[in-house]
Amino acid sequence: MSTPAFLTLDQVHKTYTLKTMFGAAKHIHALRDISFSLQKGEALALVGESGSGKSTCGRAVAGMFQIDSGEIRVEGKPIATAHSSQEKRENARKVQMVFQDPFASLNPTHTVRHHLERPLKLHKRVPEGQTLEDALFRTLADVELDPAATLDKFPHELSGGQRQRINLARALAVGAELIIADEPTSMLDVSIRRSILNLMKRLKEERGITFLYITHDLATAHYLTENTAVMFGGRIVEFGPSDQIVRAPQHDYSKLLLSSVPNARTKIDADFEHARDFSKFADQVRQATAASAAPLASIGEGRMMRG
Amino acid sequence: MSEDRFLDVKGLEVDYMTLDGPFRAVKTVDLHINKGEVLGLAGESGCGKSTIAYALMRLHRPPAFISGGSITVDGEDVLAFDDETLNQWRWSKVSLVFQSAMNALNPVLTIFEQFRDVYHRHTGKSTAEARARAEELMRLVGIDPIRLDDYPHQLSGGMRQRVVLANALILEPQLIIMDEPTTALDVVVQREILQEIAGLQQKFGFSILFITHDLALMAQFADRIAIMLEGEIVEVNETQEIVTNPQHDYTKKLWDAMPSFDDAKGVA
Repeated sequence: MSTPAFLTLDQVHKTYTLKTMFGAAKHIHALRDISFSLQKGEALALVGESGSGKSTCGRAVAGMFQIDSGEIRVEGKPIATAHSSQEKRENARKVQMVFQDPFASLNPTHTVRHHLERPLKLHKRVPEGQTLEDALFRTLADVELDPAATLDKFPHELSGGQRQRINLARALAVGAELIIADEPTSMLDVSIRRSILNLMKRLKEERGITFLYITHDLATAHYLTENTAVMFGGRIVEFGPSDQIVRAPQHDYSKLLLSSVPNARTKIDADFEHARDFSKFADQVRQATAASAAPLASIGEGRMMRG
Repeated sequence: MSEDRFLDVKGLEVDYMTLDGPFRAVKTVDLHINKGEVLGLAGESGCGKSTIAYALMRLHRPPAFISGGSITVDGEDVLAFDDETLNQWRWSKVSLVFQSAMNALNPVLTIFEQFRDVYHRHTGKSTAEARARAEELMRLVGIDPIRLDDYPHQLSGGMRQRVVLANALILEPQLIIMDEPTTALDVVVQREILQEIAGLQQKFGFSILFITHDLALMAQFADRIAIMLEGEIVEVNETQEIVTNPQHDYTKKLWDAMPSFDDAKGVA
């Protein structure tokens, strides 16, 4: 690697402790030994089921909580050592999040204008010689929305897809360089998913924006990203180029995930006697994956797997 | 063929009363489901597919009104039922698995109490009999009956979904309407639930109206698929035809809207 990575995670650990009223405290290993790096303008998918730690990983990168050990670096600088408010603000500007629920992530009592004006003013992102209005129009045009028609609308007047565009616009408004997109299309209709993915793809290719894309859908991960990390139980179980992971997954859990993606051309086995075979198989794979503490080892060019 | 039709809907129209006058959400819809058949109903949010589901069971509430058409289930005119007949008919003949079924359970009742509620009201049978039936159903969907005394929050999402399915089966209905039964679930759990539904359908032979916006998922399981756009059914055909030879532009658009593994990389 000649250029330093835009984002680096180095043996990141995070454990949550649940204190129950009786008995011993329970430890939840949300992130275990997470290491990867991401080049500027590239996209990495974190794929896994609920509770695999994929969202926790995204939120750790956004600096939403302190990690227990390890290091997260943005452009080579550890985010944990940013102390001055200027440094913190700079990190916040560079790394932005887009959340899953477009209905909950915008304030229902404010217009689109309010949602975009505040970040523009706070981060002083209005270029000299331009008015605030110009900057607002430009930001909305970037996400393919009609500025004049959208600016003074309230969130409830917009569709889910339009709201998700506003969330992307809000990230762009402050000049985000890394966007952490946490299941940005999973609450949208299938019919508009691709258009949001295409927008992210365009931002990546034309603007050089780096994406950390969190999803449980391998098909969309393959569509948008160069690399995919499959996560289970707080660990990365397989890492590699997305098309290779989709074409030839190596880890049993990756295979399970892939085989679960609906494929219109294959009918499922409807026999009642076999109905639970898949569940049993899935449970076995989950248990075996959870039990294994084998380290990530290289299995070829750019590919790694936990043995 | 018509004698095989378990559900037959003709010219169904549903209006929502708004301040600007009536809004027609379902426009002259014809559809039928044969005995033991799985019909998929696909379309995007707001196209009227859930409105149809509610109207079929007459669960729609004002401002929604059925303003035209007929609904015939097993030879009976559903729109002519009085309230008492309707109450008896619902769940015993046709049951419903709601959208976001994970939240369809009452959080302050145990799983068993939710079963007993339905069973007692419809059959008048004792708690012991309800217990026996509930245990049988739990085994049927692959959950240890000991979990009957748990509250919904103590079960995982997939288990709750299975409980909701079991509850829909309690009176052995001949048609189950499933409104986005797997939408809030992970892909792996979604597949598990789909297998479960398919297995139960094969075992008991009930008909299913399967509503979702995920065409690929539906195609894995449905016998026929109806595509809905803005209150109208624009295409109905055998699943194989909808997959390999879609006729309507909107059906093609729906297929195109989903990234699949066949997509060449870098094509925007």
